[in-house]
Order: sequence, then structure tokens, then C-alpha cells
Amino acid sequence: MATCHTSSDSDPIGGLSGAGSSLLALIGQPNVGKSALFKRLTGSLAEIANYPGTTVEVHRAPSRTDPDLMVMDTPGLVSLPSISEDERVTAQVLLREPLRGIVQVGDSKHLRRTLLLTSHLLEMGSPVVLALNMTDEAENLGLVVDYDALEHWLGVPVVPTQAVRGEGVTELLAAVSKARSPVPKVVYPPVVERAVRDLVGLIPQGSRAARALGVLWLSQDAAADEWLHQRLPSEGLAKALEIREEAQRAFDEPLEDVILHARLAFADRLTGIVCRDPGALAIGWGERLGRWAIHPFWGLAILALVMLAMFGIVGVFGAGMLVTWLEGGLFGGLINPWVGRWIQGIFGSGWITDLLVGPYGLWTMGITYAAALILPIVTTFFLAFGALEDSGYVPRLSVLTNRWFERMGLNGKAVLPMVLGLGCVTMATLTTRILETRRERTLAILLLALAVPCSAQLGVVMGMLASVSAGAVVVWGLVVLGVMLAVGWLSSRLMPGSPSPLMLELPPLRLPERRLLLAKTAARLEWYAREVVPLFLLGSLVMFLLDRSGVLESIVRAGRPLVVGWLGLPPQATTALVLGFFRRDFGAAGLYALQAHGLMSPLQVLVAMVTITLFVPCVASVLMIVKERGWRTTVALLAFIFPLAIAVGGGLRVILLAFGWGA
Amino acid sequence: MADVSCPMCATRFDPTENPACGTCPLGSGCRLVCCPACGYTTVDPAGSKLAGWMSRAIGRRRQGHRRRDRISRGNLRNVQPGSRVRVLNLARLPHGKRRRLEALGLAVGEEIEVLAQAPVTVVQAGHAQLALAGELSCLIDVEPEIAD
Repeated sequence: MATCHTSSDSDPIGGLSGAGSSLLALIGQPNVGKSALFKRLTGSLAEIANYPGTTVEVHRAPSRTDPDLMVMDTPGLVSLPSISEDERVTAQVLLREPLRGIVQVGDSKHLRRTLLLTSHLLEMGSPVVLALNMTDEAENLGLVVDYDALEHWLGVPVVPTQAVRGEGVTELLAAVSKARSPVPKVVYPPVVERAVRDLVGLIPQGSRAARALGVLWLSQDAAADEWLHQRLPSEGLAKALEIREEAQRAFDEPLEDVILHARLAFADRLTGIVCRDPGALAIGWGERLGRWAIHPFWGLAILALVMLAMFGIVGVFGAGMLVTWLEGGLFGGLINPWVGRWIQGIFGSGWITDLLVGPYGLWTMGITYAAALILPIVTTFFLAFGALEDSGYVPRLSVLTNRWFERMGLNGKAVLPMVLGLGCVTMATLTTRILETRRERTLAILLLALAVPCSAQLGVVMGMLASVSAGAVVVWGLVVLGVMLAVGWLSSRLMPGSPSPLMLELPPLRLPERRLLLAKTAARLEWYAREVVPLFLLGSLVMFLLDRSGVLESIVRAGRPLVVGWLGLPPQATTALVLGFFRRDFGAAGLYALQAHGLMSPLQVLVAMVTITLFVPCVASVLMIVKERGWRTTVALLAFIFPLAIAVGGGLRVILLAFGWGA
Repeated sequence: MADVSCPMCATRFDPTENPACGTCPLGSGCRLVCCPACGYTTVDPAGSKLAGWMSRAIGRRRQGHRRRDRISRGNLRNVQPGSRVRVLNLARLPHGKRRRLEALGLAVGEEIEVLAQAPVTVVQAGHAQLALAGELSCLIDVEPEIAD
């Protein structure tokens, strides 16, 4: 996974011709197609989806046509000053990295707001090219943009593109090679201009972004603030503060508003000159469906349909049909007996054979679970999930569920990490950066780690419960949702602060692009295989060692009161729960094998599924939580989650028995 | 306090000052109000959550004079879906949110269309659709569009 490089060892801005630099930054507002263009330019696939916040850290990859040119994909930035953690990352890229050039990716439908960001970028001192993306959607709305006039007025190359289809990319690369440093276009009121001039005088000689730094300092931008605090001596800083205060005295409204309004006036004027907008057109099917999706009643009906479709594709087709065929037929009936005989023929019946094809063998457990159980499930899940996120439905889900999340101390935006968590909790933990406050991020991470099952686990759970009854699926869903709501409600009351109110842009609903969807699924599967297979092999190896050394038997014996006594599961389920410490889906797969051998009753399956869903998150997620929130929070979360999972599982069993369920 | 328009005789009255309750055998505590002019019994949408939700759900598509009444109250939260309004003032919003809305196209002087009020306020500003929690939309002052 790419890491976020927002600072560099040498002074990145002092020196600063940029001639030796080979960094090209893709900058743009959220959900304008930066990642799609990144893929076209580099061939490497960053996460792409139809919702804002897909990219929360900087990705770098060499350009396809010029391997010396590093292209950077950055988180969406609406305008400066930045207001969230991911926006700040982009602001720091602009101010700190020695960029050879900036490609601004703009949405052709929203020219005014695109030009608002352009006005910032023209002040950064690096060559700028404007890629106006999604021209097809703008044309469908009847918008006519005069690209030549826009290029003339801005003084930078303007290239119409459709990144998803790869149109305009060659022209864009040609424009990048010819781009020159632009002239800033926005003229502020004289008092502000004078203050900016004075500030530029304080900034070390040769800093290309000096004007931008001056304007951003006056706007109280956090990234500019940090830059000046690091580079200016204390008397310089005092002078900068004095300049800001003096400029502020000339206006009743805050300086940042004066600056923003000057920028907006520029963007308004230029939009009026270069763009012809016929206004609202007739409402199409996408628009109509989009409105139904947020309706208090029809929205819920659509949500139920979406969930039913996901269940059909992943639970019934993936976890049911494909797994039965692969695990029972192909692996169980053909491959595994053959591999077993082959290994035995070579090594005889010693410990090596056990290690490879024994009950906890690297092949029989590690590879079979990964290839026959998890692979078909995650493949169908990633396809269904990819189609869902490319459609633009997820932000509408934020609107629909806002009230529920408010009760948990969050707002509807938190639905994004939760839904992404259904794909992979590890990645979703990173996405909590789009939430505005530290409190909201910690709350969201707690709920993710506790109650959101990842794709592989969800698939196994769905497959197992589907074979019990529809009622079991409902009970499982209600218990997990209930625990999530209760824990969210309680912890939001224990943690000081209140949720920030929802403010979100709803992208248009689109039909997912088939090629992109397949490429995305393939990229995710590759990433998943790289993470899962080694962990499965490691898990099998640890289990094998525990088994050989007799420790597993002691663990099973020690866990007996808890697993058999309290949860009412067969003693072998302890092994599956131990596997759950590596990955929850690995544990779930162990339980699947028990069920397949007829060792579990419907009641036991339900209790086991609830327990393993609420179980501690996988090793990778735990490491991600440590990275995002530190060790102390992580240990506290785990110390809370493990006993809670066992308590809820056992409690459910007691209640179900009292109602005579599964008897 | 919200006022109620009698569905029978169109008299407008304040349900909290309804004098008819004293003569009613049911006494106080019910969620219904009686018109002081004709005595017709109606519901006070502000008095019952369920009634409020139902009347909003049913009345969403009904336009006409009632919509204009609601708009004249001045904040975006009170505008009926389907109406077009002009943004008058954003100054009561938290600073960061106001700047963000202005950048996204919801600025003073802009004409916007209200698409929904539940579960949150959704507006069409230019070609963008923005969703705003009620606690934000009630801080945005608007006036009805002149050419309505």
C-alpha cells in the first residue's frame, strides 16, 4: 500500500526551479475522476469509485510513457483553506513537494467550482494543466464549454477528457510536456494585495509557492501555517502575524471570506464567459431513481432490494453454489485426495506429510480455505460491491441512514467506512479519515472493528446461515446491528463531544463501466490474495505447531468451559476461534468445515456466527488501527471487543434456548 | 409557534391558544385541535410526531398557497420540496461549513431547488445535489423565487 509522503528530506521549496524534479501531482475536487486518470497515466490501479473520499492518502506510480515521471494521486480538495485531514494532505503536497507540474482534474459539469480551485493552483508557481473530465456528462446536460476561450483566459492548457474511457489522455500528456508556470489571475482588494506582497518579502528567496503561501497565511490555512512556523525565524513570524492582523482591521468580515469571495467572483465571471448552460433539463431515470433512493420510505425499500441482491449474488451464488462445487467437488473430491496421495508417496507418513496435507496442513487447511472457500466468495462480493460503489448509491445511503448514525454519535458520512468495511475492514479503517473530528474517527473505528464483517467473513456467514434458515439470517442481522447500535449509542455518550451535522454532495447515479469494474475486481483480488494466502499459511503453520506440541489440546481443554459450557459449541470449535485471531474469515471457514461435516446444529451455527462476527478483527486491521490511533486505543478496543463477543454469543444462546429455537 | 390552517373554513389560528379545549369533554392532552371559527377538529402537525410525519409525507407534492406560507418563514428547513428559492443569508452557519457550501455552489443570491426535506434537506444548486442535516438547513435564510 502506498504511504503518505508529505515531506521530504531536503528543502523542497527552497532551491526550487523544479527543473530536476519529476513529480506530477493530480489535484482536483472529490469525485472528479483523479484516480481514473491516475490509472490511465500510470497503469496502476488506485481505488476508484463513485463517491467522494475514495483516495485518503497519496499514491505514487511512474508514468506509462515516461518512467522518470512520478505521478501522484491525491485526496480530493474542494478549496483552500483545507477543512479535513485528507484535504490537508493535498495542501501539503502542493506546498512542500518539488512538483514539475500540476494536472488539475475538474468536473466539466461544475465549471465554477473547478475554476475556484484553479485560482488557487495558478498561485502555486508550478506549471498547471487543466483536464476537464466527464465531458460526456456535461454534454448530456446540454453544457457547452468554449475550451479555447478558457485556455486563453487562464493562460494554461485546457484538455477535455473522459478518463474512464481513456479519451483525451494522449493530448493531456502532450500538454503536460509543454506547460509553463502560469500567472496568478485573481486580484484581491488593495489591502490584501499589499499584505500578500509584504508576506512574500518575508518568505525565503526562491520559494515558488510564495504568493500562494502569503494568501493562505491570510486565510489561516493549517498547511501554510505549519510551513511558515517551520521556515520563518521568530521575528519573521511575528511580522507575518502583524501583517495579517493589520489587513484584517480593514474589513468587517474575516479575511478568508474576503479572499474566498474574490476567488468566487473570478470563477463566476469566467464561467459566464466560457460556458453556456441551458439550465435544468427533463429528469432522467437516473435522477428519478436517485431521488427515490433517499426517500424515507422508498429509500428503505430500495435498500432492502439492494441487500437482497447482494445476498443473492454473494450468499446464494458465491458462498452456496460456487463453494459447494469448488470445496466439495473439485478440492474435496479430486484435488485434495490426489495431492494427499502424491505427498504421501514422496514423504511417507511422517511429520512433513502432516505439515503439508494433515488436518492442519498447509495445503489441506491454508490453500484449500483460501482457494476453495474464500476466493469464490470474495470474487462475487467484489463484483457486486464494485458495481454498487460505482453506481453512486453509497452517498445516498449516507443520507438515508444519517439519523441512525446520529444516535451513535456520528453522521451519515460514517456509512462510507462501514460499507467499505464490508469489503475490507483494514482499508475502511483508513477511510475514517474523511470524518471531521477525532472523536468521530475513533467511534467509527470501534464500530468497524466490532460489528462490521469483511467480505470473506460475510460470505462464509451468509453461506452457513442460508443453509440453516432465513430466520437465522434475520436473527444474526438483528443481533449484530443491535450490538452495533447499542455500543455506538453508549460510547457516543461516554466520549465527550457531539456529532458534526451532515453535509454531503450526491454524485449522479451512473451505470458502472464494465471494463473498470472487472479491472477493479481483479486488482482487489490480487491484493487480497497477497494478504490472505500468506496469513492463511502462517495460521495453518501455527495451528500445526500448536497441534504437534500438544498446546492446542491444552487450549481446547482450557477453552472448554467457555466454548462448550457458555457458547454451547462442539469442542472442535475452539480451534476455529483460535484461527479467528489471525483472520475472522479464517475462523469462520473453520466453522464452515465443522458444519459441512454435520458437527453443528442450527442453534450452534447461529451462536457461532454471531460470536465470530463480533470477534476481534484480523491481524492486518489491528496493525492499521495501531497506525491510525496508536497502541493504547488499540489495546483498549481489543480488551473490550473480545469479552463482548463471547458474552453476546452466550447470551444469545441462553435467550434462543429459552424461546425453544433450534430445539 | 406554528400556526394551523383549518381545512374546513381556512381560518388560521394558533393551536396553543385554542379556546375550544375548555368546552371539550375529552379535556386536554389529546393531539387534536379545534378551529375557533367553525369548531372543526383537525391535527396539529407539531403536536404529534406521527401526524407530522404523515402530513409531510402526503403533503410533499401538494403545492400552492401553503407552500408560499411555509417559505415566507424564511429558513431552508421550512421550504416544501419542489419549491425554488433564492439564498439570502448564510452568515448563521458555522464558518467552515459556510465556506464549503459557497465553494460547492450554494452561495448568497443563488437560486436553488429543494428536492427533499426528509431524512435530511436535499437541494439542487446548479448541477450539484447537496444533502444538509436539518440543523444546518435551518440556519440558511431564503426567500421564495420571484417568478414562482
